[in-house]
Amino acid sequence: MAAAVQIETVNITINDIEIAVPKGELIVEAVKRLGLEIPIFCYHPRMKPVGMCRMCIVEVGFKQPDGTVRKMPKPQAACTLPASEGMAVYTDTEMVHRDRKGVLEFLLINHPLDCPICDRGGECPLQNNTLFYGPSTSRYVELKRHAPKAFPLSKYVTLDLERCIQCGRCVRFTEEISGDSELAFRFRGANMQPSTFELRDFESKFSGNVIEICPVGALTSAKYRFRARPWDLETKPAVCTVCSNGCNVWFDYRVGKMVRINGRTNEGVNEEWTCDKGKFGHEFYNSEDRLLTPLVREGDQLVPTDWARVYSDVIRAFANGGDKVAALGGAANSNEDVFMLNRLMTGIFGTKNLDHRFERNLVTGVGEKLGVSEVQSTIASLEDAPSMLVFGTSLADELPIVFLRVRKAWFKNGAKVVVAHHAPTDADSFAEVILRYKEGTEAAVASGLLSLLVSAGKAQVPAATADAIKPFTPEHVEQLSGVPAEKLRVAAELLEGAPIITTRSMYNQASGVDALEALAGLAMVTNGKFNCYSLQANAEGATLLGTKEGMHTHQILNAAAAGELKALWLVNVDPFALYPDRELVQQALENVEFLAVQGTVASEAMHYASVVLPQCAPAEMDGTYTNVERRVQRMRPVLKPKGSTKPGWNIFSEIAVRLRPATPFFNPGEVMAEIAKENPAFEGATYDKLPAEGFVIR
Amino acid sequence: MSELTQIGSINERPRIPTRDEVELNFSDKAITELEALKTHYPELKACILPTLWIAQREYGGFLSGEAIAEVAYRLQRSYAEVEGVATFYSMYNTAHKPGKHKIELCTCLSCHLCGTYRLRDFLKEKLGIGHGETTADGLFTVEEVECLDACDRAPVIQVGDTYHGPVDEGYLSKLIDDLRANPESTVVKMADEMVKVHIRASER
Amino acid sequence: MAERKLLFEHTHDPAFRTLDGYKATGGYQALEKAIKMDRQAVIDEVKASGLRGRGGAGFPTWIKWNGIPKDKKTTHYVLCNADEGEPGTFKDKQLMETCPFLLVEGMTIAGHATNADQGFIYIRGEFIDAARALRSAIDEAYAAGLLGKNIMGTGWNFDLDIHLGAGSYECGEESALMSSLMGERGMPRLKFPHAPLPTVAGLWERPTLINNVETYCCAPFIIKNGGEWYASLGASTKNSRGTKIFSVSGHVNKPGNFEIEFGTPLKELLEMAGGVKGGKLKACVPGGSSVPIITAEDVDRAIIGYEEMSEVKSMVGSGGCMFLNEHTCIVTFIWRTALFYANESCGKCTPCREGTRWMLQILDRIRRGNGQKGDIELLKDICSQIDGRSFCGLGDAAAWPVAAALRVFPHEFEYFIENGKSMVESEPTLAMAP
Repeated sequence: MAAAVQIETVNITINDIEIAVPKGELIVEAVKRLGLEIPIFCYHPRMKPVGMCRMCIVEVGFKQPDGTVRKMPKPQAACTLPASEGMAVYTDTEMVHRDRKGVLEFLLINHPLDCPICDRGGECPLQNNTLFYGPSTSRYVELKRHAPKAFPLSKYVTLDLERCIQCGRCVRFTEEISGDSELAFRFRGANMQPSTFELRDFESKFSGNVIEICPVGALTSAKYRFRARPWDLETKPAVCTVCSNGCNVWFDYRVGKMVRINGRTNEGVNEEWTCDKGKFGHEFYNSEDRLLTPLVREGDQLVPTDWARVYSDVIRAFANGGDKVAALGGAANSNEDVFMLNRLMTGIFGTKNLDHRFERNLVTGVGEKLGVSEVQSTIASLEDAPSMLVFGTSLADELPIVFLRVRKAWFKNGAKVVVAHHAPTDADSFAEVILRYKEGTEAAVASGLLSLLVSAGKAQVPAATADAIKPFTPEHVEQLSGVPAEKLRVAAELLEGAPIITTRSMYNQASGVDALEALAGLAMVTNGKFNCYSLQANAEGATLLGTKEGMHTHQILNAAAAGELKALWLVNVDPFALYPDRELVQQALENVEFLAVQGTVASEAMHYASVVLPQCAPAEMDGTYTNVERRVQRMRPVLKPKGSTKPGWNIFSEIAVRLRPATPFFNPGEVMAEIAKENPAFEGATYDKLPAEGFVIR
Repeated sequence: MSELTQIGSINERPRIPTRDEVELNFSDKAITELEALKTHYPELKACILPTLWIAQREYGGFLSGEAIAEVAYRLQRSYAEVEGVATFYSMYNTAHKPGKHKIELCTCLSCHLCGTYRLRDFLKEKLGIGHGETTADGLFTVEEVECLDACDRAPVIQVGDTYHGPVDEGYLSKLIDDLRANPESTVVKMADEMVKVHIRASER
Repeated sequence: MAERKLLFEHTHDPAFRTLDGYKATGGYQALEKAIKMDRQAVIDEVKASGLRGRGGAGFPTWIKWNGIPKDKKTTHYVLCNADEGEPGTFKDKQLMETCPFLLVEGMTIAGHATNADQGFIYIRGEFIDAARALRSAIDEAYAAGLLGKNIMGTGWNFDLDIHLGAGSYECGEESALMSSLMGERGMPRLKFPHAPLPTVAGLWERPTLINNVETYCCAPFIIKNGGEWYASLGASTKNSRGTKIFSVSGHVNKPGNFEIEFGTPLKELLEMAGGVKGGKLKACVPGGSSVPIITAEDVDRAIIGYEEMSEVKSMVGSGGCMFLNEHTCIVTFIWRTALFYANESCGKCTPCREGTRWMLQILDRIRRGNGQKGDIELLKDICSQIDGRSFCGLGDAAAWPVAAALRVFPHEFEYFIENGKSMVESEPTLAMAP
C-alpha cells in the first residue's frame, strides 16, 4: 500500500463550527467543506487569488488562549486568506451582510443594467449575487460611467466595457493560463478597463474561455450574441471531436440546433478550458452543407435517393472485392464505427486494405518497430513532470489542451521545458531551452540529444544504435541543424525522466521517422516517457481497432490511381485536406471504378463519388472516442440525427447483415461489448463500466 | 475607439504586430542606457518604467503605440502589458502628442486654497487651451495635475524638470514668453533627465 | 517650544549636499560606527530610539528591521519610499534635495543591519530635483567607496539605485510601490495575513526592508548619538520619540517645513509658520490630506504625537499640515479632496474605485447647488462602505476626510444643500470654485 500523504491540518471555526482544514487552504474554499458558500466575482479556483472585488468579505478573528475570539478590526477577503490555526471565520454576521450589500451597490452603480438584452442575463453571477446578497434599490442618481458598447475585440469575442466590473479574470486568464498576455488593464481608477494592445484583434488561441469566466456580460461570444436566452437552451454533456484532445464540453442547443459550446470540467483532460478551434468549431452542425440524404450519381449529377439503393450499389461494388477494394478514413469516427467498419471490410468484403493515416511516412510505425507504446503519458501527468521535451510540434496549434497542461506544469510547478521546433512556437515563451533547427534536420537534433546522453555514460544502448548515433556530436549537430552545441548540451542535461511530447505530424517530415526512433530511444535511456500524440478525434481508437495488415494509404491511393482498385470507400474523411500529394488523390479518385463517400458535410471528394452516404454528426449519435492519451469517453446523443443520416456503425452493420444475415447490433453499447470481447484493452470501456470521466487504456 | 463600435460592425480588428514587424527606433545612446538599466534589476520586467522614460524621450515626448511596442519588444513583454503600465501613470504621455512645453498646474489642496484655479482661467485666456489640450502651434500643453508636493510654494506649476512657485499671472505671462523663445522641448528634456538619474556614474 | 533642527540642521548649507561638506559636519561617522557594530546591536539601537515610521502609519521601525531573516538565503533589499504624494506634504522633497547624504547614509546603515545587497530609492517622478541631488550624492559615495564593492574595507557590497515613479499617488502605498518598482501597474499587493510580510517576501519575493525617507534619515543620528539619546527627544509624549518634520501650507504667512520635537503643541507650529493669512483660523488638516480635519478650537489644544493627536480625533500622518482660514468653504475643500482620491484610486478594488467616484459626484453636485436631502446620510454610508473594506489604505484615506468633515462641519454641508450655495462667501473662496 502506498504511504498515505500527510497533509498538515489546522483547526479553525467557521460560524463557530469547528473544522480541521489543510493548512493554508483559502477560506473561500474551506467554507465549502461545511456546505456554505461565499459570494465571489474575481476569485477563480484555477487562478491566483487577487482580492479585487471584495465581494467575499468575511469577519475574521483569532482564538485567544482564554478561549475568547479577538476579531480583526477590519473584515477580510476570504479569497486571499489562508487558513491558520485558531482562526475564527464568520460568514453570516450583520456586518458581512451589510458589506456584501455595499460592494454590490458599488458594482451596480456603474453597471448598465441592460440585463434584458444581455447575453449573460439568466446565468450572470452579478445578477445571482445581487438577488441573494444585494440591495433591492439603488441610491445612485448620478451619471453612470459610459463606454462604447459591443466592441468587436475579435471575430469571437465582443467587449462591452460598460458592463465590466473590473474583476480581472480575463486579464489573469491570458497571463496565467493561456500565457499570451494579450489582455491587460489600461488606465486606472474608475476608468480602468481590460483591453488588448490598442484594442487590436484579440488573437489568443484560447480567447473563448474569457467569455465563460467573465462574471458579467462584458465579454460575450460574437457567435452566440442575441441567439438565445440561456433559460431557453437545453444543455447536455458532450465531447469535442474537433481534435484528438477529447475535451469535455457542454453542448447547448435549441430546437434541434447547436447554439454554443462551453467547457465542462474533466480534471484529467481539459480541466475546464476549451480552445477556440473546439469552442467555435461546431458550426458544421448547422451548416447548409450538411449531407442529409443518400445520393447517387446520375451522369454529372448526384441525386437524392434512399438507403436501399445506396446499400445495394455499395454491396455490388465491394462484395467479394478482396484486394480490389479498400477503405480510407475513420479517425474521426467513434470506436464503434471503426470497429464495425473493420468487421465489414475484413470479415465480409474480405479485404485488409483499410487505413486512417495520411502522413507522408507510413512504412514504419516507430512504436511497433521498437516495441514501445507511442502514448506513455496522460495529459494530467504532464503537470507533475519536472522537465519536458516538446519536439517538432507547435503544440498550441496541434494539441491546444496538451499545451495548456505543459504550460501549467511550468507556471505552477516550475517545470523546465525544452522546446525543439523549426519555427517559433507559443511554447517558446516559457521554454527553458529553445532548440531552433533547420526544417528537415529533426533526426540530427534528436540523435544529437541521444548521443550526448550515451557518450556521457548516462545511458546504455545496443551497439548498433550506439554506432549509428556516434557521429552526432553536438558540434556536428550544430553544423547540420544550426542548433548551438551548447544549447543541445544544456537541453540534454534536463531530460532525465522527462516526458517527450511530439505528434504524428513528425511522420510528415523527411527525417521524421529517424527522429522519432531517436526520441523513443531517448525516452528509454532517460527513463522518460515517449509520446507521439495523434491529432484526430479518434485516431487512437482507429489505430487500436484497425488492421495493419493490408495496403496502407499510399498503396491504396497509388493502386486506385493506377486503376487497380475496383472500389474505394472514403469514411468521413477529406483526403484532399489531409494527404500531402493532392495530385495523387485526384488521380486516385478519378480512376477508381466505384467511389463511396461517407460523411457529415459536403466535401471536395464528393465530385468523384458514385454514392454518398450521409452519416450523422458525433453529437447526434451514441458512441465512444479514444483521445490522445487513450482515454475512452462516451458521448451520448444530444441532438436527433438530421434528415435520414445514420450513425456509421449502423451503416456498416446494415450492409453486413444484408450480405451475411445475423442478429444485428441494435445499439452501440452492444458494439462496445463486442469490442471489449475481442480487444481486452477496452474491457473497462463497456457502457456499464465506463466512468463519467472516461477510461484510460493502459 | 468610438467610431468603431457600432453594433453590427464586423469583428475585424487591426492585428497585433508580430515581433518582426516592430519598428525599432531607439538610438545607440538609448540602447546603452537600457543595457545599463538591465543590470540593476533581477528581472527584465522591472525595466519597464525606466524604459518607458527612454521611449518617451526617443519618440519626442509621446508614447505612441509604436513606442510602446518597441519597449515591449526590447523587454520581451506583451504589448498589452506595457500599454497597461504606461497608461496607469499620469506622467507618461499616452493619450496624444503633447506640445513642446507641458505646463503642469497643480490644482490640489494647498494650491487650490491659494487660488490655482484663477491661474487656470488665466492660462485658458492666454493660450486658449484647457486641461489636456495643446495649442494649435504645438508649443504648449496645459495639464491640471494632482499634488506636486511643493505646497510651500503654492500655487505651484511644473514645466519640464523645473518647478515654479508661487506663481501669479505676471509670472506665468513672462514664463510663457520665455518658453516661446526656448527651442529646447521641456517635455523631451524632462524625459531625458528622468533617464539620466537612473544611470550610475560607472555606466555613463 | 521652538523648532528642533536635527535632520534639517544643515538644510540651508549648500556644502552639505557634497560629500566633503557632509563629512565636515560629522557625516558618515554613524556608518563608520554602525559597520563595526553587530547587526543586532544596530537594530537594538533603533529599538531603543523608539523611532516610528514617518510615512504616515507610525509603525515601530525596529520591528521591520528585525523582521528581515537573520540567516541569509537570498538577496536582501533595502527600499526607500520616496514617493511622497500626500497633498500637503513636502518634507521628503526638501530632505532629498538638501540632505541627500543623510538618506544615503541612513539606507547604508539599514543595509548593514539587514545584511542587504542592494537598495532602491523609489522617488516620485515629479521630484526630478530630488533625484538629481541623490544621483550626485550616490555617485560621490560610490567614488569614495561608501557604496558599491567592499564598503569601508569590510568586504560588504551594497549597491544603491534610483527608480523613478511616473505619476501615481497609489505608489506611495508600500506594496503598490513594490509593484511599480517591479515594472507593474502601481497596484497594491496582498498583505499579511493574506501573504507574507515584505520583510520575508517583498521585492521579487525576497526579504525587503521598506521605510520612508525621513525614517532612514533618522538612522545616522540614532547610531551616532545612541538610541536612548534619540528617545529623550519628545519624551513628554506617550509613545512618540524624536523629531518630526511638518510641512505647513495653506493659509499661513510663512509656509515651509518645520522640524519639531514630539510633544509640541500644534498651535506653535502655526506660529512658526507665521500665523494665519487672510483672516482667522477656521480649520486644520494636520497630517496630510487623508487625516481627519479638525476645528480651530482643536488646533488650540492639540499636542503633536501619534497617540496625542487622537485626542482631537485626528492623526500625525505624514506631517502635511494645512491651515484653512475663515474664508474657506469646507464643502469645496472636501470636494477637492475627493477629486484627488477619485483621480488617484488605482482601480483595483471595488469600494475604492466606485466609492471615490460616487463621493466625488455627490460632492460635485452639492457644490454646484444641486444637493438633495439625504445626501449627507448617503455620503456617510458610502464612507463606511469604503472604510476598512478597500484592498489597501487608499480607500480608507479617501473616506476619512469626508467622514470627518461631515462630523466636524455638518452645518456647512446642510447649508449648502439647503441653499444651493456656500455658507462662506468672500472673494478668496470664489477663486476656489472652478
